[in-house]
Amino acid sequence: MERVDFIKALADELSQMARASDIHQLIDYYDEMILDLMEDGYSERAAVAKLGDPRKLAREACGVPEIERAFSKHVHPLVVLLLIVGFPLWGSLVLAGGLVFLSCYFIIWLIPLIGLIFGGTFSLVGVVSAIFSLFLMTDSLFMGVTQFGIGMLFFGLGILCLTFTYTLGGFFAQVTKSVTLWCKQLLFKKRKQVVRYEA
Amino acid sequence: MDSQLKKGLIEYCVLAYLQRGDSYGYQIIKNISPVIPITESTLYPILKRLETRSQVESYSREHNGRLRKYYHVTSLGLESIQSFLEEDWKKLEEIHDYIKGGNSGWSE
Repeated sequence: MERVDFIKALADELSQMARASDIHQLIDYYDEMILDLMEDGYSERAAVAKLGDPRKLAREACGVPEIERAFSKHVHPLVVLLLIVGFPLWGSLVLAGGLVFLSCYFIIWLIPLIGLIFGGTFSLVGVVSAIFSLFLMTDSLFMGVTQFGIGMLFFGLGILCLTFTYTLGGFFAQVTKSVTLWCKQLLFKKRKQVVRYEA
Repeated sequence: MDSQLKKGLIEYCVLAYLQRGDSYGYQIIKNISPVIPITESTLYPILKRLETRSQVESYSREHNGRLRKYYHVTSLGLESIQSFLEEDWKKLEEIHDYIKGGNSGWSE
């Protein structure tokens, strides 16, 4: 493992068990240690290997004996039975919650959708109006020019709406991505309990 | 050696080494290891604890284009060494004798 990979792996491990303020100090400590080892004649890989496994180091450096309780393991049969029996209750609640969540997404995305519809319609009306104004000009120049002007006005409004939708869509896409990631972490993050004590 | 006892003794070794002059993490490990084997991960919480107790202070100094953290023993740290040598060590000897079963100074 290279120095950068080691530091990344260590930072990742520390993020789960150390306070944010400690992480920076620990990373600096181990980075300095690697560089000092390298100055002392160790190769980069040998220096990193000498320090050991980042996960183990993170625990030891924090002085944190860790008790991991995997919730998936050793589930009591009674709990399993209760989960099965209670499924009509909690299952429907979970389903309802999920649907409410999805409908929120849907409502949020309706805003850019409406913008897109307005933008598209205005632009189309503008273009059609401008084209047909040319035919109207043969009968009445005043009417034709007026219709061309109105067409351009609609086309301009359409472009504005589309620009607004594009900007808003980017923002909503970012928000959707963040919320989805947050939900994913909330649901699938490895649950663990860390017990600290003064050594 | 019991790890808790070892950690306690390492603290005094670190303070004793720093008494000779300011030093940095890797140098501390290199110097102390022949007396008590110590790893990088063992030293960090010890230094942190000593710093929290104001027994050592740290400062950064540039070395080969990077910053290196140096540790300096404070007067509290020096007092701690004296206290260990004069008081704690006597207690440890009493405990040692008690464990060996040859001391009558400990009553029930």
